[in-house]
Amino acid sequence: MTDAKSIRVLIADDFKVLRDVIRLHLERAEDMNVVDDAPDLNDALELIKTLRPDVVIMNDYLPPIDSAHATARFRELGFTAAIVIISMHLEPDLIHRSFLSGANGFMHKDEIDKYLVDAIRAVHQGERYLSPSARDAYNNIQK
Amino acid sequence: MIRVAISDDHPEMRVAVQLLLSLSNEMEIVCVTSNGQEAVDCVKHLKPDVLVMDIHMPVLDGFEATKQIADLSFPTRVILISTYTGHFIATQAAAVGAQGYVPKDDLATLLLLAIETVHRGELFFAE
Repeated sequence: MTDAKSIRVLIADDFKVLRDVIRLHLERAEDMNVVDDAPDLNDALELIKTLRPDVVIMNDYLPPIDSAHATARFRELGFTAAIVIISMHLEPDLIHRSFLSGANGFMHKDEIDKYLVDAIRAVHQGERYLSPSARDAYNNIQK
Repeated sequence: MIRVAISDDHPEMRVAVQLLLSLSNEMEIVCVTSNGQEAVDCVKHLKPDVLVMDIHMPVLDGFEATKQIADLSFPTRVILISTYTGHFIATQAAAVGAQGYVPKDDLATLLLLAIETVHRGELFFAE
């Protein structure tokens, strides 16, 4: 359903199967509208510039750079979309650097089923979102 | 409820297939493994209705695992998946005893339908 209330989402991940499945997952939420998806940084930059999504779901590595550098690039260009990083690894240093660069959320890919929709709604409201396992990993670096 | 087993050595592919199956209210994941030997062991112990299995895996590949499962004469149906497309790979999958084949690029659009189809006792070979 596409209407004024929809949260416009872009999916950026180099793994096509996961992009396709996340799109199906999000299309089940009444307030989500997946505007497009991108396999790498260049495509993501172009699509964010032209489509102006509200939220970007981004892999922790978007060829050719990691999520911290990609987020920094988006912010340098003035993109205000909220950014949720999805990862198979949850490296505390990368979580920390991604937030410093201006990311808004972080989660393990195992948690997409349970938490991605909540994460998108939270960051769209201006909140920071850490999934349970990302919170555990992030707390370790702060101890 | 269709009881489904998943076997793939690529962790991110396992995540994607589990997320895809969670979209169906009629499927239950009974085991997730990362090589063909573990998949055969899962079938022996849990007798899933459908096994979704990668072809190229360590220890025991999907073709050999499918042959062993076929020899068990269990009701478990096997859908092989791989990055390859085309008639040749689908024919090879059928020759070793699989009931279905789906290229990985088409998983999101075809896998749930493939599982339902082989569970009904029909074949599903996407080229």
